Amino acid sequence: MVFALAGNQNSGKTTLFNQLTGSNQHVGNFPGVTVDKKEGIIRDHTTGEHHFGPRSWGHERHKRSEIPPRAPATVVDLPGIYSLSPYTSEEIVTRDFLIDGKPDGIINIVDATNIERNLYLTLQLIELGIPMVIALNMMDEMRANGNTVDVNGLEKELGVPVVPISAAKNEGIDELIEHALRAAEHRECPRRQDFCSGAVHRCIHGIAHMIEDHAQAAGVPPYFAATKLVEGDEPMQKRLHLTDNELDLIGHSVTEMETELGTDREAALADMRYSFIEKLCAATVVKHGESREHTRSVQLDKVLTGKYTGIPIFLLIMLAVFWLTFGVIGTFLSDVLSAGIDALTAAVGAGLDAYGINPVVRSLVIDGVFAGVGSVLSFLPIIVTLFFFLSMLEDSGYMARVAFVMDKLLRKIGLSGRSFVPMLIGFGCSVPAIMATRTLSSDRDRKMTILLTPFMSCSAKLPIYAVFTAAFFPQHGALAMIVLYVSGMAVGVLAGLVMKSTLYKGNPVPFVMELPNYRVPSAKSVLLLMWDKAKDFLTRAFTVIFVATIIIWFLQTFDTRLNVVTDSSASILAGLGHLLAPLFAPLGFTDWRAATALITGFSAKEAVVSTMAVLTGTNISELGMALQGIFTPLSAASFLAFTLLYSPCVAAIAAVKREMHSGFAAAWVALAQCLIAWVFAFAVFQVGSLFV
Amino acid sequence: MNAFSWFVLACVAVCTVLAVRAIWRARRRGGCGGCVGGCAACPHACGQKGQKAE
Repeated sequence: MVFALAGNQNSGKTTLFNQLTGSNQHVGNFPGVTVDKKEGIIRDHTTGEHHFGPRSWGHERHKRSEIPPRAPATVVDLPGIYSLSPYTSEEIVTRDFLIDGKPDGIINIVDATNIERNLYLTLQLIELGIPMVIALNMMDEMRANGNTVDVNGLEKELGVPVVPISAAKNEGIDELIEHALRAAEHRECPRRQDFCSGAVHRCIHGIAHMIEDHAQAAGVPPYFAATKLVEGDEPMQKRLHLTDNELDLIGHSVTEMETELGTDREAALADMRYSFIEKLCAATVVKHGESREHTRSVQLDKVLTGKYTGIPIFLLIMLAVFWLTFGVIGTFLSDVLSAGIDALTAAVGAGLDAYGINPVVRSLVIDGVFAGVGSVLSFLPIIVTLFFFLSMLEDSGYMARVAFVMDKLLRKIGLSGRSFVPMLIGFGCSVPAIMATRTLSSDRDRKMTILLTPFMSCSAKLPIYAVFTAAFFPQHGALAMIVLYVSGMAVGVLAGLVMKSTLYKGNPVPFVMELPNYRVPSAKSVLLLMWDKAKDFLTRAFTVIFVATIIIWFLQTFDTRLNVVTDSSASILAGLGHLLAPLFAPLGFTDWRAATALITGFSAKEAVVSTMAVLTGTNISELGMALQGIFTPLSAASFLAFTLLYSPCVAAIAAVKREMHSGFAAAWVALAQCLIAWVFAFAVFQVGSLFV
Repeated sequence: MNAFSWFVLACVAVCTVLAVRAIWRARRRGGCGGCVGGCAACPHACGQKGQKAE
């Protein structure tokens, strides 16, 4: 048995999905967290139960012990949408699943605090004629504000079961599962599917009769298909394979309706649905003014999204986050972990010596694995600390405001504030960021955002920045980080301007985004995100970095005849590095080890640091000193500029290829970014040489 | 080379094989490849990560 979990963005779908399945998908106080469908098995839900009152949907509520065992049911978490019109990729994913996936039931999650807007989607879901249950979420918040919903009245008018729940507090979930299973098992389809009257009613019903055969052949409910045709939905027209004559008749009916109502087809249907919702809410919802959360949010927004205060406050917050991460907490914890890793390395080295280990095998373990993986591992606290602060900002609802504030700036480079969401994710990792561009409705905006996202410095580059700033700019660590991040964004802006006037001429789509209420970040959500970061970082360290380290150690320990070299400058790796080194001579770093580290960075950016550690034969606390023998402060700045901008890692290039459906675009991204990085680093070194 | 050296070398070899297998498996199931099915920010939006919930 398969259930689709559908609802508006930020209505709590993923929170409910986690409660239903017991999984830990990331939940954000941020519209558009889910961009693809996710599946999970509904678990036996017996804990934390609380009921909002007696329910009366055709049967008395069973006690758990009386419920017979059932086959496992799957729930599919769909992206948040506002309607079933195929305007964005998310809406297409949801609609395709609902029509072609043939779920046994729909769990429609409705945010009770925004019930009018949420019911707009509900009315369209009802038209699909699939067994459905409405999960009226955030009822705890409604009650706390003294507001109420007549649940029985609501389900009578809509013709589907309505279950009040609080997904965040795990309340009402058992009852929801019961109703959903019952509706699906007994094929209890919505009792009412017609919410219109007058001219719209006549038009829809006329078309529904005309296309009934086509709709049945296409596996679409005739009423739903007719509604979509009245809206002018082109994919539906193609799906139904209508004849020219039928299309003419539909066009005639729609024109007649538009003339009678004095409005266009989409507005006519929206008016019809909202008129019904207005009457329904007047009869069933009692609201005593706006909620405290909303009032507080409006007051905060006057400052945080103010015309003159929005951007300065954002920059101040980010400066504070970077200072705390790189200047205080993260660096301190990182130093502690480095000391621990060094002590462990020394202990293992002594242990190996005590057993008379072969010097080459000792070198593999200590100078290879421990130096390489250890150098990356020590940056774990910095990554976790940075994402602790970012997840706090996201969960509080502030990041959605930043997208709003950034809209004005992004429009200057031909993008809308919506593009800020993937770009923000790009500061974590380019791969999900590129995938998150699916939330953009315009193909032009989407492609531009994919090409610009790699300019946002991903977190895998943090270890490189941290090592170099500690070695060359120890007094200005946080400032150097800010300069690097801002430089990446600035070059991205320049690239955006170039694209706007060449490849992607035109205007971005208007930016409409829901601003969620501010709330105190949830400890569970923040801790889960930190755990995810730590787990993923460790996974990378012990897989990609581990393998890269072994390969680098091998190539720098042996020559082409597989003899162990006494000096690594005679190794296979040195030979390869010497070939590439001249390319970087104009950038100020001629050492073959720098060139080699940049090449390994293609596999994963952290590999730059581990390669340096292996090639210099040092552990993390000595790496800074070793780097000072290879770079000057100016050439280090040039090296940082190059790593900031050069080609994203293999996984990100693969993501570009997948999302752009073009190998050429992926190759172009890799080559163009290397070229831009070279020019930028060249400028840094040459201009810097004038002053140093 | 003594037996202990061979033992350590064998351990490193096994770890390398396991690491390569983890990367290979992640790629086969459509994960992010280089980031082994979940990189630093994947919980935000990675569709592949979602498949793990099954």
